[in-house]
Amino acid sequence: MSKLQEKDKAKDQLPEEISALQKRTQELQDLESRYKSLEEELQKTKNELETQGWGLEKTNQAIKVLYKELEKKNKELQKLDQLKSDFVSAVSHELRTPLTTIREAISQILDGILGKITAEQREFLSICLEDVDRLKRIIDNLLDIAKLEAGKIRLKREEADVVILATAVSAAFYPKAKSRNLEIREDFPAGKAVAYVDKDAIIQVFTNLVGNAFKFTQSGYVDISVRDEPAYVECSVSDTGKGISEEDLPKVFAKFQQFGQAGGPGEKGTGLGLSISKGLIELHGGKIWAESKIKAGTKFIFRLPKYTAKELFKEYVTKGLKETTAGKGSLSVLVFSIKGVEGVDSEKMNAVLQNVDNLARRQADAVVKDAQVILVVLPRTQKEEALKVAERMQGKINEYLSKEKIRIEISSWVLSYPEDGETEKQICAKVDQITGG
Amino acid sequence: MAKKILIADDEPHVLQLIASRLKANNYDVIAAQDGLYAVKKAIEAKPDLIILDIKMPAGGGVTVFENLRMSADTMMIPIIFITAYPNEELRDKLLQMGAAGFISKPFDAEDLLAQVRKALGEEQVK
Repeated sequence: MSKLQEKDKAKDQLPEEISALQKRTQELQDLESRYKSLEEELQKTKNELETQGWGLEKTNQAIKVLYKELEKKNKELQKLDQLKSDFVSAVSHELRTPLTTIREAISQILDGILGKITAEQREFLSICLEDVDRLKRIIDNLLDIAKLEAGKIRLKREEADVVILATAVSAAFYPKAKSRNLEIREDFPAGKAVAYVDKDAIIQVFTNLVGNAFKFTQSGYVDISVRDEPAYVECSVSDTGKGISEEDLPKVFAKFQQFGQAGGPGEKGTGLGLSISKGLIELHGGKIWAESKIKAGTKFIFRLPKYTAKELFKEYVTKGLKETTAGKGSLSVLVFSIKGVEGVDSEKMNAVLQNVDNLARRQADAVVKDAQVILVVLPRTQKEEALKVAERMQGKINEYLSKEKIRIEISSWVLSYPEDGETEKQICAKVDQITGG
Repeated sequence: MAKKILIADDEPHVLQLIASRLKANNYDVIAAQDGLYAVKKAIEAKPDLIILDIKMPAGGGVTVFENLRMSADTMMIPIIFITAYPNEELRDKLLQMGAAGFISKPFDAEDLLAQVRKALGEEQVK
């Protein structure tokens, strides 16, 4: 091809190439504008994130402020609780002192110490005495409620046959039943119904329920029953009295509730008994409820879960460990092991156990594992402090043993979190190691 | 000869009434209204029994108790505590320390007299 022809060919291809270039340029321009808009979007997103981040920072700060306030309010509430408890304690003391002199003065006049009195004077003074005693019961109940609400009631739990407790209460109400012409029916199992309970507390509950039954029953009977189930002991007190209406039934355990006029003569209530009973049963991990229909009698039922001493110990240790986290906080367990029991008579042995138990309970929740081991759980106590406590107790115990000339040996060990175990399982395992089972 | 009982309580009414009850039961009564006076009277009169209120000015019942324990003259005198703050722990602690009895206010006269007789080692006359 000649040079001219080549030039012509190139000239012909030019418009194509120009158009291709134009196309390329357009594509590049498109890319550029897309890039620009992506950049804008990115910047927009960046700005949004920054705003959000700033917003989160503010929220975070707000949460910190709220948290501090919550802590402050919590401390205030704890202080108020303590104040309330102190208040009730102080007030009840202030009320008891004048009651003492009023009661004793009336009692002495009634006993003839100040001379003869007429029948009418006797009657009026007896009314006074009854109401002074009622005031005393109200104060005692108020104090109980305050202690329950402040979590200050410490149960003295031990293995007890609930049938024996129920029988004692039933016997105590026998004279009243006779004078009111009411029957007391007992429905107890042939054998025992053993649970790990505070005897005084359970007696208080039975007394409250039976007392109520008497108050609201004109004729018929009051039935006290105890049933031994595998996992719990179920007790009930039922009567053939006036019953509780459907609308009142849910309120029956509330404070200061008294429904209608008490049926018969005798003790007026304080409206606090059931509230206290509920508190006490629930402290045992149990349940209490009522079934009733107007004019068709009432039945109060409560259940006491069966814990063995071992389970109770585990519960105390677990509770104590909850207050420790990752090496902070402390818990100690004192183990008192008793040897040489065989040669000692059981009455003396009981006295020794009671003595150690009393000493131990002054420190914390104590558990009698069996006749030969006493375990004392000391929450928030470090090994050093626990060792001192153990030494003090050991000293007192040895003093007692030598004074009473009892030839048994009681030795003590101290186990602490975290040195001797970090979980309830580890600590219990060590206890088993020491006590052999 | 009638037995001597020292009572210490900062409430004059309480003193008067307990004294009245004890005298009606043939006891001689010495009264004190604070801890210091109680210790003084205990050393002077060497009563057969002392009834101590826990909360008193110039030394409460427990302080008086500890003081009397330190002297050979008075350490053997039985002591009954009386209080308007009934407290299981305090009661156990005091009985452990060797108190002869513990009464909470308001008290039942029969209970008071029974504890007094027991602390004095007298036979119950019914």
